[in-house]
Amino acid sequence: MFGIKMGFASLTLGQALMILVGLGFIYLAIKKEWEPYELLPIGAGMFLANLPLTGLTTQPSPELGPGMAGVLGIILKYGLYTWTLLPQFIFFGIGALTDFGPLIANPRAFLLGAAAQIGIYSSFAGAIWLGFNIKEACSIGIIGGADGPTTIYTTGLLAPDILGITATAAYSYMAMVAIIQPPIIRALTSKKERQLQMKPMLRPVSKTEKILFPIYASIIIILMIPKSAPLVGMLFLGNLFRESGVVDRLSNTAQNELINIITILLMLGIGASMPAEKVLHGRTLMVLFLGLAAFAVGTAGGVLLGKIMSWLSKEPFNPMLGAAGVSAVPMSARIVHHLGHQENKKNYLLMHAMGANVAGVIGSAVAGGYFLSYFQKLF
Amino acid sequence: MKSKMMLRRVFWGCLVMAWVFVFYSPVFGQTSNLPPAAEGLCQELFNLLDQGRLKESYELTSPGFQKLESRESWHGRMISERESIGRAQSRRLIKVEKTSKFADLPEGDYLVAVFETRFDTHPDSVETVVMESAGSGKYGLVWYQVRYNMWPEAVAIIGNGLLLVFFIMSLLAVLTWLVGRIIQTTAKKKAAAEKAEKG
Repeated sequence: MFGIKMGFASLTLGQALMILVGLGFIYLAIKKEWEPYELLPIGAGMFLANLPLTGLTTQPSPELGPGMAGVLGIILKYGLYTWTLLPQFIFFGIGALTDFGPLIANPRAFLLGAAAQIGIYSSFAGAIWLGFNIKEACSIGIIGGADGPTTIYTTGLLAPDILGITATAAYSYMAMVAIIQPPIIRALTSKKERQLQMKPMLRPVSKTEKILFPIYASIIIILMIPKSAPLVGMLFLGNLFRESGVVDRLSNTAQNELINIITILLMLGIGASMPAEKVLHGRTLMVLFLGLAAFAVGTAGGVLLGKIMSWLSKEPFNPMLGAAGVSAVPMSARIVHHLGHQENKKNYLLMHAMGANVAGVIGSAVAGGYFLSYFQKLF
Repeated sequence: MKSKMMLRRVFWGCLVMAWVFVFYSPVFGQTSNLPPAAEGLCQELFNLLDQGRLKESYELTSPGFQKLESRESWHGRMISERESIGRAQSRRLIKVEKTSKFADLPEGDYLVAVFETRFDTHPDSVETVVMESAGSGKYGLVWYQVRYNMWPEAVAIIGNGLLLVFFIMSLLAVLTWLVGRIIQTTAKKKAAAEKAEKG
């Protein structure tokens, strides 16, 4: 009609369904404000990628002529699959935004950040049991780290076929922290434990400590797990920019313009990595279920270690802090603070929980780096 | 009596020889149930995969399949299936069946060949090759998959991974505490010295 080939006749049922899912994401982002910075561009990428005959997701290749690759295909190829640049730059921005002060003031929180990674390994085992191969299982397990960029980076390198769905699961569950975590925390702690009042303030952390931390932490982690360097290195580089106090313009750019631009590209790419034929099958439901289980077990792991630490600690130690060890920053820290405050109006757990929360970011990057190092002969 | 004993020896001899034949069969074992063109395709595929020429295996896929999956995507899948399991030591055809539906593939006339394979690292693997008729007796490849007992490897990953995460995080905790103590003590001493100087 009109001398051109229109898309209506080529639209498949699967594509129509994925367009609806994309529109659903946009609705959730706008109406419910669920992770809008992530879900809005993911939804847009999803519906654009599933419109037929556009060529938007055609990836550049030597066989194609100039101008034949689509914009989403270029983002996918260079941003996520081949160069994997985008998640690394997101980590740079996160580093510039993160204050590790609460963690430096209370280093015990590192252990909570480690315990919450148990969810990653439990879902890894679940994925193997359900018939996924080892690399796919690693990518599914990492959803439990509740860390979008780590999930994207690990999956992009190990199992690009399930990238879209693991990334979406990670961001969706992060948006649902307030629904997932409280019942688990309540089930594993008594009212008395939740009421435990901690010192409202942590000790002040000097500028020297804040500058030294990203330096020695990155050296130790990268020497032990070299393949974690792209994530850990960028995270701590961003943080060094922030804490040094001498490159404010660069730090501000990393915290604002850069992370915003990268977020647009990354989330559009994630949405575009979900064409109907890759998503609409039973395995997707399994990935979603395993991701949720990873998140729940991670929360439980953190709380259980919190209980042990509370039992061993001389000073009052609220075990709920363990739940903040999953790295959904700052939502899970806020949830812990809110629950503590609900039980005891004198309780101010936010800064303590933030320590565990940023430890979780490091913990999930370490866990992701371990998976990548295990398969290092690939790179 | 003698002939009975002789017969027994022959029987046992044959059994041992048969067992040796099965056990030491060449990399490509029984393929009698496969049509010659499909057998040739499997042999060609296994040669490429065993030599690590994973990307080249895309050339064996059917033209229809190539419209559904790009070379890069196929290569990625082959890396994920084969990269870490090494070469095949032996391979035996255990099942051949025709089907119209397989995994996520669109409906069609598929020939599924299942092989029991001993790889360097995984002696109890199962390889599945799915082919579709490309007309005039020829076949094109549409699917390849290896499955093996992953639990020993998975348990090692879980154990080592958890241990490493806890070790690194504990090390960072101790180091951060130590650095904090040193800096706090130094600051206190400096403040005390300044106070003494002023005093």
